[in-house]
Amino acid sequence: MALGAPAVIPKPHTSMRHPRKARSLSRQDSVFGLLMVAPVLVYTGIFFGIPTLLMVWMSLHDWPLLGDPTFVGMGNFSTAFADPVFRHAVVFSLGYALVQTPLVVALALLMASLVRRQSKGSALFRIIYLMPYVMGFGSSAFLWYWMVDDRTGAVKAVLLAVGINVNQSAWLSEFIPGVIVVITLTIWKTVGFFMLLMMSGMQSISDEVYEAATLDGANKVKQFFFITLPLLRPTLVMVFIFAITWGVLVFDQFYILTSGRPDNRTVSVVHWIFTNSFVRFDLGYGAALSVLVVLGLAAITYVQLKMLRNPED
Amino acid sequence: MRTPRNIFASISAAGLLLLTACGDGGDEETPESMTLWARGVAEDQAFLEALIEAYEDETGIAIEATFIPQEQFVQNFGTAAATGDGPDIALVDVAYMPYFASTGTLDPLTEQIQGLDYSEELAPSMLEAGTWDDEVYGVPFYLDVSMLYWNKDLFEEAGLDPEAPPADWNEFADAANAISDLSDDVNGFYVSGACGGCMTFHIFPFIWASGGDVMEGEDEATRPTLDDPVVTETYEFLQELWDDGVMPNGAQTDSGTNYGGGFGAGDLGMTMLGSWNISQLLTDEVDIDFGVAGMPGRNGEDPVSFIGGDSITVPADSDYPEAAFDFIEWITGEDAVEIMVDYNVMPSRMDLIEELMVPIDERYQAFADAVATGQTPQNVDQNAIYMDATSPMMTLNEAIFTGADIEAAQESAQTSAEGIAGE
Repeated sequence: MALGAPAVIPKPHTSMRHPRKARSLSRQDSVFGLLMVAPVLVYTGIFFGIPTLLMVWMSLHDWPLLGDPTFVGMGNFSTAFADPVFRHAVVFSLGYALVQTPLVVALALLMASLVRRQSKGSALFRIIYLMPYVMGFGSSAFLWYWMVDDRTGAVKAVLLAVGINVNQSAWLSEFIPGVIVVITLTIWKTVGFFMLLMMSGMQSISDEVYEAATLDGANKVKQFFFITLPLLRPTLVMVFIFAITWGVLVFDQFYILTSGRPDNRTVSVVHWIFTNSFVRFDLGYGAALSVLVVLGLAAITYVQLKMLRNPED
Repeated sequence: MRTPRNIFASISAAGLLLLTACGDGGDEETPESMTLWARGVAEDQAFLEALIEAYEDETGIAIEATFIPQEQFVQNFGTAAATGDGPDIALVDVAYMPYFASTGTLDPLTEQIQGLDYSEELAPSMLEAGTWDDEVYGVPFYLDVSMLYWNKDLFEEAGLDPEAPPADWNEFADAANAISDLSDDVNGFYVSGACGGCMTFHIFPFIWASGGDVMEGEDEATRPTLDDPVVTETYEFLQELWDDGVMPNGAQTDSGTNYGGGFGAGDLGMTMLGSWNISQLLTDEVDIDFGVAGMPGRNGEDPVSFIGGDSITVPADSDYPEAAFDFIEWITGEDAVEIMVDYNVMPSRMDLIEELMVPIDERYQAFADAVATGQTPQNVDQNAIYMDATSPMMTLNEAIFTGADIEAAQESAQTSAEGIAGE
């Protein structure tokens, strides 16, 4: 028996219906369906559609916080392409997302494998792993700010206890150490959430598949690579999209911990949007940068969906 | 330099006539209540609530105060002002006064201020910072004045005269080094290196007292001068102090959470702190003997302190502009100032600092002297150029700790600052 075969879900036979009847049914269905989703459509329209349109409109203007906006066409966009801080922030945010994502996904996968089955203590560990996720990024960042403090931080105490004495005082002012601190914080903070997603994905895989594989002589490692991973694909797609999106949109952690240091090299795209909108009060330029980020993320998500699509679909 | 006194002198008798015409006898009805917005710093809230209660008791006019988190104040107030939903009275951080004054958000108060008996006793640099195109938009309310604090016990221990603060930068460096040499746990000097606002408060007095500045011109013509040669000297001096190890390692990354560097704990020789801090040092159970003085210039020139704080303003869309100014007059009057002093808040009235605060502790005299000669930056882009984490001045501040070439860092900071100023 081929591994993974039982997971192929037979497609419903729709072609046997009478074409006319099917059409009229589908019209009724679609009206009913539309009614059902209407509240969500209204909600999305108000809280996403209108703000998005306003953002696009603002991006075409020189729009100060106080005073009248002036139409500048694509002026903000050409400024953005020539803005060295924005260009660096794009590269930095993408790079951060690319480094961060595989680490958090791999760890979440490992943790989900450990706690997926109901066993003594697994519920406790699930809660422990998920706990940091319910804290805000702002408060977690301040917690880590103190943890890595050179004089009073817990990290220093732990390192000293094992005989390592490192000068940590410049960690948050230097590029690599600063980024490592932020990555560690983000993994600690979000891994529980991804673990939860993957755990439910894993739990939806029937035990019979594993039993059959065991009978066929597949060991745990083989089962993981040939059953768990392929059948987890839809969940993994979602996890990757979340992780990459959150990575590109990173803000609070860097804002609080490194504040752009050194020399604005850890300024993320969202931090730069924030600075232009709410420090320089240039809302039009901030909106233009936001439009670029939304388009960029849409493109990245599209590519991810293409790359991770099940070839059998 | 244009002074408020000149501004007032330049306003003709016509202004006074107008004032008489628009005074208490105007058409405005007496309100039952007015709205007031202030930034929500915990210390502000307590004394403001006490003031508001006293005002209500005296006048029967209720003040509905809204405290907005400091980080969101400018956006919230700006947005509300733009849509006509702003308060009747607003307390504005003086750093943002030029921005709001230049955008028509506030009512000009020039003539009303001139009508106050004590207009010449109000902190002059704060009045100046709230002046735009010869109109004054804010009444200085409370102050935060930067001063050099020194620990007399550590001075004595290091063989220095505990009663004599450094008279120039050489003496400053010698004292800082001598104190740092006392033990590993003791440091000569401290700055909150990753806190933009703190750094302007720490560093501008060094530059100003030595004859330099970080900006020139006024109103629309203000431009940054981060490439000033005195700025070079100041940053090279601070870099040297850092290289000599007189500042603790944590200074580099302190985003303000350790502001003051534990001066009250007694292991810091000198630091630049505000007037808030003397209150804390006097009220807390702090067991150190300390002195307060202005920071002298490089060669012993007279100190020039940074005068910060809040101005009290009447937004342009205030429903009760006349009653709002009556409130301002009351809150800067002697009865209100007495309440502020009870809360250890430094008023903007130079006469009352002398009269009410110096008797509490003679070290307040240094502050009273500093207010008259101090400076307040006036720049619509003050946060973006000098204070924000991504600001050009913050990247220049990094050079103190990284050993980067100061002149090169200045050149790059100046270019970015000019870019922001030109937007």
